[in-house]
Amino acid sequence: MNLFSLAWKNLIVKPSRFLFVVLMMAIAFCLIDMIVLVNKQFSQHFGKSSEGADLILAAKGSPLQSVLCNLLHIDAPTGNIATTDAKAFLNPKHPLIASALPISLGDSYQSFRMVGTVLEYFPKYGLELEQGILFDQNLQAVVGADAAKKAGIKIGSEILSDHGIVTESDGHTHDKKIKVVGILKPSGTVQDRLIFTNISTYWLMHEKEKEDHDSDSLSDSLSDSLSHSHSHSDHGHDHDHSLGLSHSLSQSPPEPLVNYTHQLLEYDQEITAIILTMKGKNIQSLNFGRQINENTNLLAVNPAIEINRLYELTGSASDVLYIIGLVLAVLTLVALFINLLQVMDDRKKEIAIIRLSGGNKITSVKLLILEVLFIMIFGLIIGFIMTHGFLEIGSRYLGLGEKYQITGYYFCKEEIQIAVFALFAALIASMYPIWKAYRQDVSKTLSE
Amino acid sequence: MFQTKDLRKKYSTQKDIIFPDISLATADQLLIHGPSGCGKTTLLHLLCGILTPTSGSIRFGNQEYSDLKGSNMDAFRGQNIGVCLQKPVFIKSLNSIENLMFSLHLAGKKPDKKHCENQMKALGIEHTMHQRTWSLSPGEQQRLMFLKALIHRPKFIIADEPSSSLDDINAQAVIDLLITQCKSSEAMLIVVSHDSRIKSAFTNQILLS
Repeated sequence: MNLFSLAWKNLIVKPSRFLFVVLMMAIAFCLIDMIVLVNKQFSQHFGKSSEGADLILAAKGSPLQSVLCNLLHIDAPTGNIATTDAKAFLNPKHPLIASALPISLGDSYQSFRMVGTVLEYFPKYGLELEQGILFDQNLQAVVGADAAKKAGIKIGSEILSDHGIVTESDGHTHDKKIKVVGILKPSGTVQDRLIFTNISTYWLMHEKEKEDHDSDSLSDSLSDSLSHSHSHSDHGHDHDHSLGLSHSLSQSPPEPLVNYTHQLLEYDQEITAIILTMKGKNIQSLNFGRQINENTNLLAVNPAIEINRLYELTGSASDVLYIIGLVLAVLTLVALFINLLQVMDDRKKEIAIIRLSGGNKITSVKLLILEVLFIMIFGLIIGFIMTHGFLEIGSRYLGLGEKYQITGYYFCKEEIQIAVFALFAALIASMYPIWKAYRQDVSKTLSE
Repeated sequence: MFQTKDLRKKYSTQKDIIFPDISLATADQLLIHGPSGCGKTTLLHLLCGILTPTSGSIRFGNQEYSDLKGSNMDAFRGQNIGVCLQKPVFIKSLNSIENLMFSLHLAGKKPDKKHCENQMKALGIEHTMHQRTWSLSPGEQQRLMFLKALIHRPKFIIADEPSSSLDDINAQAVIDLLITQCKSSEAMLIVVSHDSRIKSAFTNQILLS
């Protein structure tokens, strides 16, 4: 029997009072911690995903949608762009552009998005192979670690992609099999959930369908078919089946092969977007986007600006939750303060008898501090478990993991800082009751 | 062994309370009695060291109370003095035996469970060992309070009105118990009471007026 066990027994002798303060503390910590963790994971995810992307060239539409789709792989594409319109920006000799990564989007496999791109994409995003090789032929795929694990994809697996992305697949499956030749190491980015092919595979996937559409159209009007561009507006994205038009009408067209950006210059096809990295941050580079928007059919988007706008949009909701968390934390401290004052009144005689039996002023102070620490430690542990539990539930069942790479297994040093701050705040809130215990006049108490 | 000299205590609104000198040797027993308001509780608190006299000295063995400040006085009291209060006070969250063990801890001694069990058996309250103290009968509470004061084998026991709330038979039994326990442990005993029924049990008495 010592002070430690006495402090514990003092708390559990009135379990409802103890649980009330502990749960208040837990909920306050949970709210604040959750906002910190979500913001942190959000910004890391956005930061990593938009690293090195100074400008995105896409079809005219919503700039934010363009960033969400082409960098973060959340939203639907704004449409396709013709390589003829973008050739200038794909040119490796462009004076302002350091690198240009073309991407094609619109297909998926088992809800994992497929990205048609070039080999320069992998080093640009620091993606490394876990197994196999990178694609060098058409109809070959390299799969992100998470997608491979969850879809049960192995090296040598052959997959049939669905037309449409993730939630909006139209139930149409392409008939060309894509062979998996490589699996990437986990990177902790959205790329873990993507399946990569070269750009020309994307064209090939849609070529036969284009031919089918064309033959239908030819029976109606040959001339119309030459100019007809069939857009699947009901797919929720503008996935144009006129891809490969020039080759489809020839007798035996040479199969396109685009593994590198410069190879794209040889074809008049369509892609979804180009991710540009500029050579410098000079005034010309800064005006570059504005000039494209004013003088071309393309939409030029600065991802940093759009992500900031996204933060502003979501920031107010996050601020409200943060303030609620802080208010709850203050209320918890008030509850703790009142609880300790009540405890002091209830236990005045007990504290006197402790002093009479040999305990000193510090003994009563230690006892109260231990009780506060027990409350705080339990509150913080429960709050910590709640935070990570809720985030993991959100990640698994609300799609936060898929969309934003949010997980309950993410820990950061700010959590420790919040916990330490909460402990100090609780000790400060307990100062007055503790001081009262310290100053208690034993003789007067026993005479009452 | 225990001596007080020229003890006075002045509260702000009252005139000085002057106490007679006390002198006790090992195993001596003393009854301090007097009417309500004569300063019995004040004297008891002075003897316990939880109240400081306005003047005069209290000496226990070679130790002068005035030389002991703050926690040193608390530790000295814990090791050497056992106090029985008129109304038993226990730590509510602890059961009977835990209260005894915690008293040992406060006195700086090892919380020996076996020793506590044996002492409870000796006083016939072993069946209350794991009960909450508030569920005990007044008689059981009184005996547990004595045991709490004696458990760490103090050299000096002070009891405040130990019999005042008891009937004649129980009052006598309680005083007999106190005297027996103090004799067996060779402790000095001071009983502060206004209960005239227990006067006959003490040969050594001081009347406060």
